[in-house]
Amino acid sequence: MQPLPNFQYLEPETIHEAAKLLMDSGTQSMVISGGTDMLPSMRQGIFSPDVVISLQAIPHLRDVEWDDTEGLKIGPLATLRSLETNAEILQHFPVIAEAAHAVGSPQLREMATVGGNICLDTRCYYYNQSENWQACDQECLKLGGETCKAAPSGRAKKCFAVFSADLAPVLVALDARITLLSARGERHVDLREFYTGDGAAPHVKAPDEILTSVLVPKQMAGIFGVYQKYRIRNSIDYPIAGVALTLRLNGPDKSAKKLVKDVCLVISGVASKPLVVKKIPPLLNGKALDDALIEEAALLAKKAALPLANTGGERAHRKQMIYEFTKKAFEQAINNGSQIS
Amino acid sequence: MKQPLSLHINDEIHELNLAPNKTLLEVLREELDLTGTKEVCLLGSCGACTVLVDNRPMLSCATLAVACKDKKITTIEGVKDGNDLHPLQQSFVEKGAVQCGYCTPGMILSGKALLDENPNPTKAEAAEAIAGNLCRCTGYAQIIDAIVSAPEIADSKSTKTQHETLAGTLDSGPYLMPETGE
Amino acid sequence: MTRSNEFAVIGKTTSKTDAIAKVTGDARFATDIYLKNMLWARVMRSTVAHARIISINTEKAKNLDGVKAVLTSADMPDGKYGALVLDMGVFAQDKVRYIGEAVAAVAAVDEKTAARAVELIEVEYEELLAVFDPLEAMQPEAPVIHDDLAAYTTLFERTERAMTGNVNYQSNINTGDIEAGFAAADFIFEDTYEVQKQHPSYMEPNSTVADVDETGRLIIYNTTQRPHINQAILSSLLGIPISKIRVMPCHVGGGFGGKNRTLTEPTAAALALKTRQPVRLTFSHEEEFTSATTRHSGVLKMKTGVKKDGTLIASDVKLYYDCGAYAPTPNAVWLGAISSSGAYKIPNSRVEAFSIYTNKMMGGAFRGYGAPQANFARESQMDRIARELNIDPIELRLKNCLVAGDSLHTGQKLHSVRVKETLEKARDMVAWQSPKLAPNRALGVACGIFACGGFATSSIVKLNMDGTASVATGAMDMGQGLRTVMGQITAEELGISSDDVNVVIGDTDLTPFDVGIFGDRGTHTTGLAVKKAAEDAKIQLLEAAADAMEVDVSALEIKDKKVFDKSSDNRFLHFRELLGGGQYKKGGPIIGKASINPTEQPFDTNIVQGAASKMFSTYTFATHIVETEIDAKTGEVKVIKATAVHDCGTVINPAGLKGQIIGGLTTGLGYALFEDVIIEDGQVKNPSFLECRMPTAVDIPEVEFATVDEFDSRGPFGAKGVGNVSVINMAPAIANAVDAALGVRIKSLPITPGKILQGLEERAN
Repeated sequence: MQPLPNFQYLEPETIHEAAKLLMDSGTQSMVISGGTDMLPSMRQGIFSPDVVISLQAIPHLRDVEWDDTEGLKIGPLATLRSLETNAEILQHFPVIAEAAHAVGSPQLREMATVGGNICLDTRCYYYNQSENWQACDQECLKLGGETCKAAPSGRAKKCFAVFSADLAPVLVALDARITLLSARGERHVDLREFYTGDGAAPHVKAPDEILTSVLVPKQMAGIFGVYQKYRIRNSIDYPIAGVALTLRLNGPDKSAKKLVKDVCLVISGVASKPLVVKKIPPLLNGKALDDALIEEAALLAKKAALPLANTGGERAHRKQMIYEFTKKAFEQAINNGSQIS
Repeated sequence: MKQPLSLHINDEIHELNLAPNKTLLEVLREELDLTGTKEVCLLGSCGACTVLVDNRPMLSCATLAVACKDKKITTIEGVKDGNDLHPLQQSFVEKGAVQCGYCTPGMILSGKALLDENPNPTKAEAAEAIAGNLCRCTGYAQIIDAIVSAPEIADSKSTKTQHETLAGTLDSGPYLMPETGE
Repeated sequence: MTRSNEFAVIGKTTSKTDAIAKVTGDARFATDIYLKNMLWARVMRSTVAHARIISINTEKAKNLDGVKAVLTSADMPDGKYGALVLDMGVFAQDKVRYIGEAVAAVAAVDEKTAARAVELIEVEYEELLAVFDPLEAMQPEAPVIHDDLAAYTTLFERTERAMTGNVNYQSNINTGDIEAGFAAADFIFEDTYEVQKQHPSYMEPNSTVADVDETGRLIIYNTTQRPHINQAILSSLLGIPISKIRVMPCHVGGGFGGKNRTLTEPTAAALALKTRQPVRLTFSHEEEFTSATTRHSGVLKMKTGVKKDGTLIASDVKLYYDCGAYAPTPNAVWLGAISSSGAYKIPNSRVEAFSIYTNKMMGGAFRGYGAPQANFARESQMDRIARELNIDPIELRLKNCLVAGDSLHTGQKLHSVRVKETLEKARDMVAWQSPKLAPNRALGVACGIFACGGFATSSIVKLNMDGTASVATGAMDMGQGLRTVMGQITAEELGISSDDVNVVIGDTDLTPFDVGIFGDRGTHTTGLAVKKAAEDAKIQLLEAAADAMEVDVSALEIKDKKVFDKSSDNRFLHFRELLGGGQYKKGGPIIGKASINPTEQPFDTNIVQGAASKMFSTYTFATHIVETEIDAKTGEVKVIKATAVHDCGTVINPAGLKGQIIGGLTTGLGYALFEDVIIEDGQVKNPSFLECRMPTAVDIPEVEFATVDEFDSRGPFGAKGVGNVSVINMAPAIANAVDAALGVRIKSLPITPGKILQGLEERAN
């Protein structure tokens, strides 16, 4: 067996202790949650931390609870499987359960956590490879090399690794906020501001920060949500095109045309972050959905997608899937309209 | 640096001294000679190393052994009830669900996790439960059959002991023993 | 004609003899062997696609603590090996020809040290121009990958382009008058098809533990489809006699042709001989995808002449199979040539099939063995012909399909052919009216042929004192159930139960020669040797009984482990009475033996040149119909149901047959829709099960299958093979369904949504 590199393993019992350990051990330490992405990457030599800090001994980090004043609070160690079956989630935000169910495989969902999914590293054919593989060519930008081999214009100075999580785009669309804690203090970040779009450094969490909580605000409860995932096979696969849509359809009464409110469309697997299609809310909010508007929205989403040949599938087709999924998502919203307030 | 660790595996406590970079898979295979759990991709993408951790199917290649100290681990070697095959194991044998056998331990543990939670699964539920376990030989159909048929075998209490099954059904009468020259 | 209901053991599901050990986790595979003082080997591999090796410096690696040996080609005898073309050394000699080629190997106290040592080996390369496309590699100006190709040893009749440029093998079939055939055709169809690399994706990695015993013998624990060939290759490569080598294969965790190779054995053996310690070499998951073998990718050109009524009259086929940097098995190319006519009668036919070197990982054997590529072309084109001529696709196939007594385009007269019945039965099972069912829903059909039975094998059957038996063969069980089937055949022949038979396979100290399990040989050819060996033992037993009962052998019959005097029900002897006591009144011990090396109908060299086999005994056939739903907006294809009807002769083990049919068509499904080893500038971009995807349990269609009644007089109890033909129909059937639904003809595999959308766009313009 190719062994993992050596490291020191720590299991602090409080989150503050964890933050202190993380700070004390400097940049060569990493927090492990489910381990499903991190350990294979460590085996390939992508990460080699001296210190691995597990949060599993800290109480309540797996909790998922509904708070009447704030909303849904999800602990970072809640497994994806626990989200699939959680009664509060199924009641308030079934789309979270849907997205969690779409991830990987049964075993991966038992192990993988919300925190891990949010902080998921970007992936790329030129990055997720062993050291032997990397030895055949210059290292990629994300691994410390000079240029990005996946760049649309040949090699470039920007990393184009792909963000390919299922849950994160849904949480972005639900306007989730996360809490980051370090020995320096605590801060709250809107999830949509968390991602940079730079494949090499995909999010703004500092190395000494720990994601301690996810909050889906109370006011989002009952919003319509849908997540569509394209993958090459139906299991053990990540999205190579994904669309998360949330919106409300409001009308003065049952007979009148319903108007769009609070729409948010996020695409995944086609950029270095879960990409909010910013032109969609001004296009649709306050209007009644019709075929022409949906078409326009779908074209906007398609245009925003930048799939490259650095992951599975075909570029043109993945773009097309964003378009089709966007249309399908809005159609589902209309079909569900009677249940939407 | 090695550290003492006690692991609860197949209803036995193992006192070990391990470096923290050892995965559960390495410890099972290389320290405890529980080689029924298979190593294949080491990327979490094939399911051959599936074991039950607190009765849930997990990938031992992506699990650190040190993280398992208070957990109950079941490997394929712990599925039998004494010498009796588990109904699911019996069902795999009877339904032709075993070809090369390399995915079989992981398949059985994924199937067992399903049956423990849902004693009468549908074929679709069985397929979902093993969707994280790759198999190149069977095309999965007989494995799915074996999972949905296991409850019948359990009900009929027709499970055989491993020993009985191996002994076959010989009913030879006495034969002349050779002269030994003694 | 004997039918399966007349058998006691044949045709009944017998649980696999190794299934219990496999469900309990007790079964030991080569990867489960841990010996005392065992060293770990790692291979240092080429990082460039084509280069001359200027120097290799192993000093730093040798000096690393814990390293016990480092080997390069300089430390090895100067031998090369291969199936028909002896072109590959254990380590690269002078040149490296693909990324992932073995350059050196290390044995160290643990895997980490071995890996570290590999990093310390320094190789200086002079890079050479590389070529990755087989058609480019055939051009005169292409870089030459093997400089002294013509001087290599070959084991086949060299045709005009064989062993020239980058072509290492060529076979030709010429039957009838090709010019006249096309002249007589009313329509001519000409298409080019492209096929990708598909990885065998056995779950268990290639692995060998090599040990040197106290007498100095080399002991090999491995995972292989061909222990006796491994033994012979080790003998010739290492220069030691066969008597000093014992290959003891463990349970094989899947092979599918991919383990009909000798990849880990020579390296582990050489390191063990050098260190006098046990050495384990297990391929990493990545090495499986860079340095093992795949199905050949390639380009297929097919020109077919047809009469107005749909009769096929002429066919001209060119197969360009890309074998990568070495040619471990050009046999796949030959089998591609044979099956390129499809299961059809074509009076005027020409095939030229080439195996071409490129600077890529090797193409080798993989379930279907050259036929999935050729059948994709043939069966795709058949549907195109049906559409153009406005004939129902099944009618067109029925009109042209082979029947018993017909000759294949190789000139071989066929005695066991039920492809027509498979077509009819499949048609009835799906209640076929026309392919298109609804705007986005269609049926697709394909039928196919696969050569079965050939190459040498042998068996020994030994009777025990209590009337039980042991059967030994050098063939292997890689999961397909050979062990169980050989037990059934022995039991049936001897009139005992399967439980009374101990099956010994593989171990070269205990079993007689078998060339390896591939190409539908197991049940048919090895099965025949086993049956004959059991028959031989039975005759000896009857002779002993005749002696004891003082009657003529012809007066005796066997039932329930007893020999009866036919004239009297009361007069019998138990087997145990005849065999007990460990001594034999008449001769003995009772050991039956038999060997098979089918030669009854060799290929006609006027028709066939460069054949990679003398003959094939028989052929298996199948028809598959898929029901698909195709989303014209997204290009996604969903196979809802697959119906498979096989002509496999007598069914020996129904549960085993089911596993072979569904397993094979699932591999065919992956080949059709998404499996692809993607190579960019010689480097595999997706070297893992995660990125090189095979179908999962939630990707499979509902499957209904059946067999047609057939008894092949040349097979054991009328049986033929099934494992390969189950793979070859899915890709064309799905392509045909896509065309039926959308009017888009996909001529390259895999059939991806992107290609379908592109096809729709082109059709719209």
